[in-house]
Amino acid sequence: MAASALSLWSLFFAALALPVAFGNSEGDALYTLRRSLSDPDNVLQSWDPTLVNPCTWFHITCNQDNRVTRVDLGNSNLSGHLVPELGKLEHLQYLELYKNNLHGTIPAELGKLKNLISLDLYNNNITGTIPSSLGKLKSLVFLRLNDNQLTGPIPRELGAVSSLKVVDVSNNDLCGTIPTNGPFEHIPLNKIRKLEVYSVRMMRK
Amino acid sequence: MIGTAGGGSNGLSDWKDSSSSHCSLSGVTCDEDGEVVSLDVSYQNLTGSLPPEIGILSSLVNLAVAGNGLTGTVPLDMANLTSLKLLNLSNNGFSGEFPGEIVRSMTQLEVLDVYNNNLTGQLPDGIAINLVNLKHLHLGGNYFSGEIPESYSEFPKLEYLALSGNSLSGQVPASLARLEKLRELYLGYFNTFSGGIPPEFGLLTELQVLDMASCNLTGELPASLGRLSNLCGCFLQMNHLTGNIPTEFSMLSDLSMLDLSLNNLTGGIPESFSQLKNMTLLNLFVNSLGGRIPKSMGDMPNLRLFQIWQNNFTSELPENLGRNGKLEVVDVSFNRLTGTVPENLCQGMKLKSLVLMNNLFSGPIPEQLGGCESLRRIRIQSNFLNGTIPAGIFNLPELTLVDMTQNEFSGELPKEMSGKKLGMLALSGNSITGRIPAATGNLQNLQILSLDRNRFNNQLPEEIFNLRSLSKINISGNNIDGGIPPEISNCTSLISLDFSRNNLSGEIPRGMDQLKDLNHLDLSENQLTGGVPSEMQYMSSLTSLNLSGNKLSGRVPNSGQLLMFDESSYAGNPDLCFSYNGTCSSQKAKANAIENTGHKTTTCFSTLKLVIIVLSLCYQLVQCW
Repeated sequence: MAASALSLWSLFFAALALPVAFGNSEGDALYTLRRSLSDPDNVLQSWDPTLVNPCTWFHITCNQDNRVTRVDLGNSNLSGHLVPELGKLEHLQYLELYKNNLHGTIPAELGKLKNLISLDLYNNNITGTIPSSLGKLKSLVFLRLNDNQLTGPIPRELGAVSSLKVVDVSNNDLCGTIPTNGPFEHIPLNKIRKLEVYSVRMMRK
Repeated sequence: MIGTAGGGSNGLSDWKDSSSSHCSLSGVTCDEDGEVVSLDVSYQNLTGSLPPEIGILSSLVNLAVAGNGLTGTVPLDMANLTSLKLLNLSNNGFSGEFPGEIVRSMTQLEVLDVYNNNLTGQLPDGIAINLVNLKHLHLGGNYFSGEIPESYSEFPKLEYLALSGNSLSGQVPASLARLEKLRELYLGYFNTFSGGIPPEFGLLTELQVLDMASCNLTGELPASLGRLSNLCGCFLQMNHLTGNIPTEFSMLSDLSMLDLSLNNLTGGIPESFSQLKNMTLLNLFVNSLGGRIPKSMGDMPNLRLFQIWQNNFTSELPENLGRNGKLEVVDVSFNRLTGTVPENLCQGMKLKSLVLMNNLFSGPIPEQLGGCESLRRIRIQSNFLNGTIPAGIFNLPELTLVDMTQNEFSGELPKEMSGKKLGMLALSGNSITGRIPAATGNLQNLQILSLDRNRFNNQLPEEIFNLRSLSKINISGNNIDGGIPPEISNCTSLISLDFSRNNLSGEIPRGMDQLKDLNHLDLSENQLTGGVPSEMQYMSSLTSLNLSGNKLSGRVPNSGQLLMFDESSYAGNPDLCFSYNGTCSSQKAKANAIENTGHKTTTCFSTLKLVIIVLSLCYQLVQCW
């Protein structure tokens, strides 16, 4: 029998496995992220794309319907860049990628994460602008992009996110004016003396 | 020619030396007349296109340019290569249509391989009548569209036909059954055929591999496929096949791999399936199959992977399952299986993955599984399993994941635990008693520890908090008493901590702010006393806090991160007071917020404001546009 051809094929089969047709698009999206990251500490070792969903991958949390709700990869010595496929994780609530060595830009596709509560990209080497699409994140409470190399303005669209409680964009290369609409309305601007100075920190109850 | 093809760094460095005879160049073979008969420049990092001049080499018997970055169209001048026996253009970026006319004169051609390019248009037609010697035809991995030509049934010597991974449509021609010598047939993946598997394929008696996975097939499995006595691999997964698995499939004596998963099959596994002595892989998952699993399947001598999850199977697993000493993966989850876990699943010490979850299994976990050193994953949650969990499981060297949630396990956990690779230990929702062993602190790679909703008692061992990787711990809903060990602040990877609904006493330890990544903290429904430590205001990662239902006292610090949380986080602590509603003045409470003099004081804010921290390196308001 064609044993060698067969074993070669089963390798192909194993590599191809389930993803596309079975709708494991969330696992595919995360695996695309894995492939664009450099992971010297092997924290992503359990990210096996041949599993039917990513819910048993470490650093991933799913809900009852096996949809990803949390990505917890803070402080994991990762480098590389984010991928637009992250926007496919429709039920994602917490995207925690802080304190790594990530570079590249913030994909505008993150604006599709309608259920996102916390976006923590702080302490990386992320460049580019803050996408205005983040103004579509109607559940966002925590937005921490501080300590990167972001440029451009703070998008006015963020003023439409009434759920925002914490916004930290300090230690970047941002310019322009601070929005004054929506949740930004009550910042006492008289407490901001110079724009190059670290500004006042207030809490929203 | 290499000049036109362009070059990258490759093993063809001697091609740059134009003084040497062409016959001595790497990859070139000549005959006694100095004519080039073989040109193999595969995997040489070449770029550019295949020049028309290739047609000059009219004595070529072998032409292989595979695995380069070649682009452009396939040159029509190749029609001159009438002596070709092997043409391999695979793994490049050739585009445009494949000009069938170039091969019509290649009557000696035995191998034609254009796998994995960017070719488009229809499959080359009218070539079978000329290619009377063709044995191997691989057109897969391109963007061919349209139907499979009927004429493809006319290759008299064809042994290998691959059209997979294209955009083909229409019906799969039954006439392909005329390819008497066919050994391997690959039509699946990304193609979207109409109709089903032609029953005529039962005539392909030489067939060893049939792969029509994921190509939109409908209809039933033809019983006639049972006549393919040489069939080794049958891959029909990810289609819309309906009907039963024909009992005739039991006659496929050479069958090693059968994958019918992800279809709409109904009925049961034929009793006679145990005759399939060569079966190593059986994938039937995600179908509507049901009925008993034939007992005799436990005797299949070569079964390695048994995956029948998400069906409607009932009754027990075959008692002998695993006795063949070869079993590697068992996944029968999401069925309605009953009975006990077979004892000898790991007889050959090869079992890697045991997935029984969401069934009606009862009885204990066999002790033998405690010695199954090959095990990597145990997922047996949501069953009715009982007894004590075999102690050996916590020492298995390759085990990474254990989920036994929601069963009826009882007894105590062992005093020794050394599972170095264990990342997740989930035992929630059982009746386990005794103390949480200090040895849990030896599970060096543990990230998730879920012991909630059991009957653990006694104190929390501080050794748990030595775990550097522990990110999630849940021991809620037990009878744990004593204090929260102060060592908890060493456990700096913690993201989620739930100790609620126990009998914990004493104070909330100092230093919780060292848990820089802590998102979720639930200490509710205990007997904790003392105050809310003021350093908790610096826990800027905290998004969820529940201290309700304790005996905390004093003033709740009203600053920093603690401003995020409203009264519900602190309810049911009658002696706690809040600055903002004046409840503190009416308290005859003693010293309020426990001040930690190491931190600078923060001023309190009372009105609604947004946290915003902006640092701009501009010296003036800079316009960005």
